[in-house]
Amino acid sequence: MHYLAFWQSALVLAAVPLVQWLWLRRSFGVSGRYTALVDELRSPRSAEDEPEMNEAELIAAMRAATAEAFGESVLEAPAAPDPAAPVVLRAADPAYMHWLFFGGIAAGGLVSALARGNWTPTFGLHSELFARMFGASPVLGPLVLVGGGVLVGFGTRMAGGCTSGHGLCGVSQFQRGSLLATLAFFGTGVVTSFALRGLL
Amino acid sequence: MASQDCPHMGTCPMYPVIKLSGSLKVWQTRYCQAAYAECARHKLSVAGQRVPQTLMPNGAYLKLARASSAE
Amino acid sequence: MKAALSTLAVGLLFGLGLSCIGFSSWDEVHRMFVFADLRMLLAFMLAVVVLVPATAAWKRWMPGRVKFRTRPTHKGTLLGGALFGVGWALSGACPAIALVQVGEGQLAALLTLGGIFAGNWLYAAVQQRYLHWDTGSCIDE
Repeated sequence: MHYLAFWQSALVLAAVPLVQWLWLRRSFGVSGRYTALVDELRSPRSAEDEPEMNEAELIAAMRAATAEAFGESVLEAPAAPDPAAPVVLRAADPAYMHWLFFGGIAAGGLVSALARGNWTPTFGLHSELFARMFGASPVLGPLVLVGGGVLVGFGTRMAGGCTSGHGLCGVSQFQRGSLLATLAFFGTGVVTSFALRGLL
Repeated sequence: MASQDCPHMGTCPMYPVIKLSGSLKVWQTRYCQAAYAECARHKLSVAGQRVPQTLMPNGAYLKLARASSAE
Repeated sequence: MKAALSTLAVGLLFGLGLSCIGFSSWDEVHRMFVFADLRMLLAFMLAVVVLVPATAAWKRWMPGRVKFRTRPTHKGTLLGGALFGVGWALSGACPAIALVQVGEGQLAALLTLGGIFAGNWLYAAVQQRYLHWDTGSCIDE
């Protein structure tokens, strides 16, 4: 199997968030999209609940809400907006956008496998080591994958991000939480993997 | 006083708007710098639920006022 | 329509890249974690090094164009990260990788994918019912 060299890989990893910022104007992170989809299932919302507002509309709406809560008397003349930092409410992505992103990722895997000429879908992992570690019984492998997946989903939501949001973007902005989360997941990944060597 | 500041101030999308205008300061003094545990946004967040963008601290929702009333 | 196509395109680019790097291979991920092959680890670290000035420049010259998420430290930061690391080493997948694996025809990753959704749901339920942790942010995505 031939993979990209480390520096080519690094450029790819760095380019993807930049392209997302440019095209989607959205902070980059994958686990957040799982969270959005799960929340949509847990409590569905309608587009009317969260309209898109530009700065003038947002401030007008907030003034109206303020007058309703505290009375007209608290309102002063509106302040001049700061053109350098426009405040807007951007409508949240509808669920299908997250599915499209996920579909795109899967399609990327498909294209890559087709280009290498090794697209042979099987109900397994294309992994020699995984088969040697967990292949002895037909239930162990699937159990490890489901259990591992649950830990990934649970942990990333608890930590508020995964490899992309915390590891790539948060760390490169020197955010302390992201640094801690990244150290934690690399650390336990290393410990778990060394422990798994015992199964070989 | 800093200990009474809402820990979400740095990330709350509503806080910069509230801070921006003198008219909206009442929210800041009522919720963000005092009773933030009573803020509807804070309560939902701590309950592990999605916080709607248009939810105000008192539980009201922002309404988009269209320029024309037709449609 | 444009937003939908852009979303699809970014996903495709990401999936293709991850696959070509080898992140979707259980064996490659394992070799990274036991330091048998430093290629992907170095790639990740170099990517962060590249992103530091790139992000700073972006924020400097295009302020307000992207609402960057700040991710405050809270009770779940370390524990959540630690659980995620165990799951990653076991399943060979982080949230994006499970999708790449499915696309590549490693269909067992559908189990991982189902697990990730279930785990995400489970945390939401546990947080709502028992933990009530203040994550320091009202934005979850």
